[in-house]
Amino acid sequence: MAIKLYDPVGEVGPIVNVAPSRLEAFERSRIGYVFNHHPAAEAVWTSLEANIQKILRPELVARIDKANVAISVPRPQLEQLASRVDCVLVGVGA
Amino acid sequence: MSVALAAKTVEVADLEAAIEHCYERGWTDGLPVVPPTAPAIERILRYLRLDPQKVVGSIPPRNGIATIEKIAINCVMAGCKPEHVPIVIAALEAMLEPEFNLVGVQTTTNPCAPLVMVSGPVVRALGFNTKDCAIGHGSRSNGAVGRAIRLILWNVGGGFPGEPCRTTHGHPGYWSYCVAEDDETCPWDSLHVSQGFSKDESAVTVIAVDGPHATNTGALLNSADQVFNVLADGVARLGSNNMLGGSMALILSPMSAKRLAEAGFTRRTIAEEVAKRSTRPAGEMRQHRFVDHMLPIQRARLDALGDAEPFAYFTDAEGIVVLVTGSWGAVGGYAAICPGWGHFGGHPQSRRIQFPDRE
Repeated sequence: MAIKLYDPVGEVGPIVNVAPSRLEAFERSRIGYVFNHHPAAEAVWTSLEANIQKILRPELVARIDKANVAISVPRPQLEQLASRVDCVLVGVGA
Repeated sequence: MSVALAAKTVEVADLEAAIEHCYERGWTDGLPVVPPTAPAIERILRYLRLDPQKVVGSIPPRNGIATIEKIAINCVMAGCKPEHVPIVIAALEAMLEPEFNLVGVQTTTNPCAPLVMVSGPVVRALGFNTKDCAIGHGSRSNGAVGRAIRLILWNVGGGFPGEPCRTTHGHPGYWSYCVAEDDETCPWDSLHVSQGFSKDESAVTVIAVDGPHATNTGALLNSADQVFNVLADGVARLGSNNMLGGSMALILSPMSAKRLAEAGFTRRTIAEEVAKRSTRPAGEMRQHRFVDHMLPIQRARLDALGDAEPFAYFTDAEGIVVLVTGSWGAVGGYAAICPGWGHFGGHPQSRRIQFPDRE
């Protein structure tokens, strides 16, 4: 006798896709950084920021420096950062 | 009376095909599952009396939506009776608290898995094992509740090894990790009462921890002072993530608990004493580059010490959960030390188990 099985996989809500932007589009813009300060990524992040500074010459830089590499930044703090900048670069070393 | 189910369905020829289909679709973590069929799912939903489409939360990292129906389906697959499901729901709600950092627990390289600790009248009512092999095999309630949590993290949360879950080794508790407190031998109020719940209620506490490290406390013959020395030595391993602080579970056998209780210690003061004694020389700590992962405040505390001075892994006892379960043992009077993930997350969260109103 046939058996009917029910799918246990949870549905995922709709994902909003945003058109990608080229890095050059952010020249002289306001840039935000969120970095988790994982020891494995400190060197590359420092170099990345230095190069962004040199190439894009941002008008304003705002940062969230995470003290805890693994805990998410609270939403209000992220929203406050987002309200001040044109784009946010997120760095997660692991 | 049937209940309207929204999940997609597939028809297979027979029981063997059903079990194989669950493997083929990736619906199981490697062990065979009970095929999720309508009668079994509906039995749970009729028991719960909840809207099947009620959302308990989204489970990271995939952010799949855990509806009551999806939870029921996974509970069937895990071998749960309907009465087990409110415990699973309470544990899931607790794991979704921000302090638990479930996305981190699911994806970290550290081998931490959610350990579900059950306390209260439900332990006896549903026959959870609190005697021999209380953390191991042998009991449907322990096994099914722990397995249901894992299958939900798997099927709804997408917690698959490799990508995105990078746990280096994992441990056997990833299949199922559920213990219950033994109110018969616990010398203090039950865990849930110590957390502010009433005696008549039942509750779960979840914490993300490594596998249990068996620790021979020698509690039959050792003094309480020596039992603490043994426990502290087990906690303050150089390779433990608890060198970064955070949380841990300390599961005491009845004999170990009795020895400490006779010396006047309570659940709270045991945690405080373990926190105080779990130290290593600061110089030895500094040689281990894992200290680079310390929170700045912890690192400053370490750097302020001379090489020979003791560095305490925990600054307080808040994250140390003490539970009593297992059999009496012999001279050993064991304890199981379950190290946590450090300050990163997996911190203990508790919830009352809400059973359906039968009136």
